[in-house]
Amino acid sequence: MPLLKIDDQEIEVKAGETVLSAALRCGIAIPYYCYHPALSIAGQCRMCLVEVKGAPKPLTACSTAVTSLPPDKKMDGKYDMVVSTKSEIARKAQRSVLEFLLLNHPLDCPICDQAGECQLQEYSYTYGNSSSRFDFEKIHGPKRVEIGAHVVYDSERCIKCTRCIRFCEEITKTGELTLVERGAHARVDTFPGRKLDNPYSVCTVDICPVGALTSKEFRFKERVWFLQSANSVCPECSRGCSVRYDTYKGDVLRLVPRENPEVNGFWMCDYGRLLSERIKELPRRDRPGIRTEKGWTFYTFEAFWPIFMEKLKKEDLSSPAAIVSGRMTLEEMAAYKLLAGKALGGAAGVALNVASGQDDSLLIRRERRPNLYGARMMGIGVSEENPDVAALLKNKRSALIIREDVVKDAAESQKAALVKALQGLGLLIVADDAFTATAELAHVYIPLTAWHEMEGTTVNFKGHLQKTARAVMPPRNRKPFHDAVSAWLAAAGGQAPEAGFAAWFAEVKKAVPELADKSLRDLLPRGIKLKEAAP
Amino acid sequence: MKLQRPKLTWWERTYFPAILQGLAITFRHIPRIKKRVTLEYPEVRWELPKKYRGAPVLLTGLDGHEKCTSCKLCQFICPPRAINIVAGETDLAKEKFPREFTIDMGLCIFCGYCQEVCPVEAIWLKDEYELADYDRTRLIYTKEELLARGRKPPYLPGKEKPLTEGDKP
Repeated sequence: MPLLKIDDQEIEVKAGETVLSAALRCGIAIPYYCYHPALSIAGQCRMCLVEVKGAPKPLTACSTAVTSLPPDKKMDGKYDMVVSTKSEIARKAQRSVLEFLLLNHPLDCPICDQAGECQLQEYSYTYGNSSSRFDFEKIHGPKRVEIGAHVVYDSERCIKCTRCIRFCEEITKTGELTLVERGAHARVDTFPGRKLDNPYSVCTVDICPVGALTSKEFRFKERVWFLQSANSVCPECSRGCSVRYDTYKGDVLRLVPRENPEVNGFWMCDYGRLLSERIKELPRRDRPGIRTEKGWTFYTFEAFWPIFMEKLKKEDLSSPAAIVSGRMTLEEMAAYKLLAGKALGGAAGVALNVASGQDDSLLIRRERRPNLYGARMMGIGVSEENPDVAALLKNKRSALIIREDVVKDAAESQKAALVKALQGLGLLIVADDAFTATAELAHVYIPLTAWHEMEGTTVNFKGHLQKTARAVMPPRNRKPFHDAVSAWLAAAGGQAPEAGFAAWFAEVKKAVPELADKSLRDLLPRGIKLKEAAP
Repeated sequence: MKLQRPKLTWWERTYFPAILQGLAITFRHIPRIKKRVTLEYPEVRWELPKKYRGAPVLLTGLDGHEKCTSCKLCQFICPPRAINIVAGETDLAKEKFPREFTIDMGLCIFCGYCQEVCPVEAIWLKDEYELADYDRTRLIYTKEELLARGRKPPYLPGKEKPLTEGDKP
């Protein structure tokens, strides 16, 4: 094992490991732009120059590998390489590289979306000069180039680190981007007639260390220092990517992937990311309601349950068709199980396996529900792919549909039959976060919090359990389904766990033995892999 | 802490000396020997100091558009959070402009941080101080109102005169 010395620290490295990865492992600060742990090494930005003892000039830490020296040639008697990141030569190299990078930089931080999370800003503060010595007109290049449907490129801000190019070549293997022109005029561009249109295109915005690539959806929405973040999970497919919800004043402005090697690596797909736009379009109803011949009447959450109990006395809810969803968290599923045993005559419940598209080699999964593995774990049956819901409703007088818009998801050929079947029911209870087309047919509507408005746990298709977080406070009459069950059972006069995530997580712990000795702290930030295979 | 009260003599305890001392000050001011410090306000106006900080206004650039690029530094620095900006995209070279820009003058404390932090000299605390109103909603100044106030003289000291509404290209 070669022994590396960086500044005053001795590090044992694997032969062939680079200086930069050894430094990052030990928390030694070396500035870099073009290096990315998931991409190949380019040595493009020159920011990570360090002084290596015996080398005639500073070397890039990202591409300098440590190798063993013969015993008689070791430096200072024992080191295979001696690196300094703080020596006069290293400091001068860092300062000069940064001066070059900023030579033609427009310094439009006030309007740049990256400001606040920009590596150029951070490094010029730490390593750079306080003023520019450049007195001439800066080179101007194309600005506001729409290189893709969701990505805008600004060549003046670009430092040509080529992370985006390498991402398209190595991760998505689509290779849309390339570097055109030479020297100071070089810029990133697509090949003629092509667009950056792969399903992961916005990841280039994430890995761009400066503001050259910006997301069209998030462009100019809000300065990043105003954002409030919550580390959560993407609900759009069974991959369950670790994401961060960035919100401002109760609006989700963007979803950004979090690093989680076991689930999504560093990436997430554009479809999941655009959830922030789809959330806005959902029709919301913030109060529970009951529909009679006269139309809908809406109540507050507290006032609703006695009236609902009165209604239940007249109707038969002994063996309803129960359609639950992979969009429910484990806590909600536990609550459903309890409710089914106490109030629904043990209706087993079917979680719909809604699927579309194809699995791809990177992240996207065909199953569009995040928690179907969890449903199997909690003993809830999962239907075949895209089932005919009307068949599930056959010979039933009542139905309970939770977090599924069955009308919207139904195939065109089955839609009319499904609507007819739903209208034929004596009692249809729909609990969902949006007032969907299905909810409009319901007799009783219970508003639930959306995925990003509540805490919960979810299990992805590989059995990786993660915790979701509350990114936005929901309106006060919209509750998670488990809290609705607490209120339902209390109104029915039975025993129920108290409302709230903590109490229902305790219920989940009882059902999942592997969680018994785990606390919430163990689930953060990346979740845990459950050993138990799906039944 | 124990308060030490001074020991008063019999004469002092009658309170006459204190009353006479006070009256002496009052009578000294009656003949207006000193210059008056008050003004007959609405008729007589105070000459403002040069760097007086009154109501904040938005300035118009020489191209006839608001100078503000909606960087929101003023919104960030504003101690009572009186400023609210909604950014938008424009075809102008500055790319970004304030779609909405409101200052709640019910909250503004005239600290001048917004003027100090602005990278494009788009906001300036002017000499206006008669800002009272009967309705709080009218104290929330919109972008148009702030720009209109900015077009009135006097102009930013040491800077050229911004275009007025009539000069607009």
